[in-house]
Amino acid sequence: MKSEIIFNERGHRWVVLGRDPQKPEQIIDTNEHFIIHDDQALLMDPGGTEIFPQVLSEITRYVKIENITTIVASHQDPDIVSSLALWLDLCPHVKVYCPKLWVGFIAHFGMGTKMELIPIPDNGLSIPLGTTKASIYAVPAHYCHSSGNFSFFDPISNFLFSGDIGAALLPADESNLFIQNFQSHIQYMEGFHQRWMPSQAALRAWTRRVRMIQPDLICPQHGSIFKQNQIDEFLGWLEKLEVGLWKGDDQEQELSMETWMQWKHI
Amino acid sequence: MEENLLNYQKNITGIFGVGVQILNLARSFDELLQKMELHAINGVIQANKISGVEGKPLVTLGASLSTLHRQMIPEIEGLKGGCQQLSRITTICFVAAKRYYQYTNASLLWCTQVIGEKFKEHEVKIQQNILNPQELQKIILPLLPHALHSIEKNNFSYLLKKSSINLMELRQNLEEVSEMFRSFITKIRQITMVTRTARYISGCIAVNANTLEKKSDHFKGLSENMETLVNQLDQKQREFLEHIDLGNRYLQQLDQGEIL
Repeated sequence: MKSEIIFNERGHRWVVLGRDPQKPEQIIDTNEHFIIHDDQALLMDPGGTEIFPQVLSEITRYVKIENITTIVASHQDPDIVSSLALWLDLCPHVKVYCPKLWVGFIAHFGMGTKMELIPIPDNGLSIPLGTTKASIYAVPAHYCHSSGNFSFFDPISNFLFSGDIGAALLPADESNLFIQNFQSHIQYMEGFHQRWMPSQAALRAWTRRVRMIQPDLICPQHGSIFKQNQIDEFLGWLEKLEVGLWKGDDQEQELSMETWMQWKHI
Repeated sequence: MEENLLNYQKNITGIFGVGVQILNLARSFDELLQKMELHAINGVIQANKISGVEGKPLVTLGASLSTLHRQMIPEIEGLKGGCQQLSRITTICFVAAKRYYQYTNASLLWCTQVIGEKFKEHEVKIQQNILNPQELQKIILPLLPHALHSIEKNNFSYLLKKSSINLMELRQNLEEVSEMFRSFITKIRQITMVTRTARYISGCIAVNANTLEKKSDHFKGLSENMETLVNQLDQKQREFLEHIDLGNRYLQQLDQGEIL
């Protein structure tokens, strides 16, 4: 797994982990982002159980494990936060924030660990980074794709962690952390967004919020990072993208009488 | 490393399997003793129909036999409850082993990056000590570069300490499993005593049945049914002890960090 510091000013660092060549093939590639401020760390979507050792071994290079004070989960998926019990066992004092809609669901990742989750209300929340003066903001992103979903904005770096928005399923040989060419990157995003984003209205509302925030980078949980002009291109593309209604081949979903009879053992 | 720890987890799953078998056997004991009770109650009813004094011993014997199931309820319920507890503990052990694996894996990944080729030279020794974090620390610490950042050294020690705690908890829980196996054996001994009593009463019924003028065949049949049930109970008890034996072997292997 690679790690890179993409912001480092005034005792504030933003680190990104990803592109793990040793990752088991069946596991979707994820990026884990974390912020270190005054030696305290906040992890955003720390990932699934299967990649926990890789994420942990990289994080140990930057921060004392005991100083991981905050974990935020954008939504409830296993690739986002199924490793939570391991983090809680390792750092028992860590504060975990997740969408209020998913509190009872994420608790299922407990594996016997005591789990106290802090619910993020639907309209967002300012989340303190441990005992430091820094905070990040949970920006509502409901139905993009999960029904209880947030992006996280860090005002010091001016970066936005967008979760699954802007995610791309890259080919194995594509190892660039930043997007090189937006137009050629679309092919890796399009299918993902068409299938996983259920609401065009929700996506458009999110792009309005992001235009207001004006982040310098947009960092998705899968794929590469958007910067400068690419952000505007991306938001424009997203606004025009038709999602939310089934546009696939209906024929694919039809059951033939033969299959149906086999299933029913007729 | 992965294989060693996966096999370790496999042994824990083995204990879980033993718990399931014991639970099934406890249910069989319950079922067989219930059948015994029904036969005995029927015997009492039939014996009451025999006029005069010759039915009285059979009434007494049948009545004694019919109480045996109720006498055994605490033992059987104890076994069932114990099995639930056993599955809970083995699940905790399984999760603890998984945690241990994840922490150790993270430490070793980090070591591979930091120490490089030199780390590979010590791989065999590291593999042998994978279930002994203190020994692992002793092997790895001298290999770490002196110039290493204090954060990284701190984290490495922290992870190994956490691994030790996990392993200690795991072993404590396995000790609890061992204690449970001992209590299961005590319970099975009580059931064995009841089985012996049932066999004895069943023999007495057969002797008394021989002296009856009427309904002799009925009580001989009752005695034979009882004999069959007692034999089945004996067989189940033997299976029970075999499973406990297997469970203890799993525990022994886990204690030694070996694979069964």
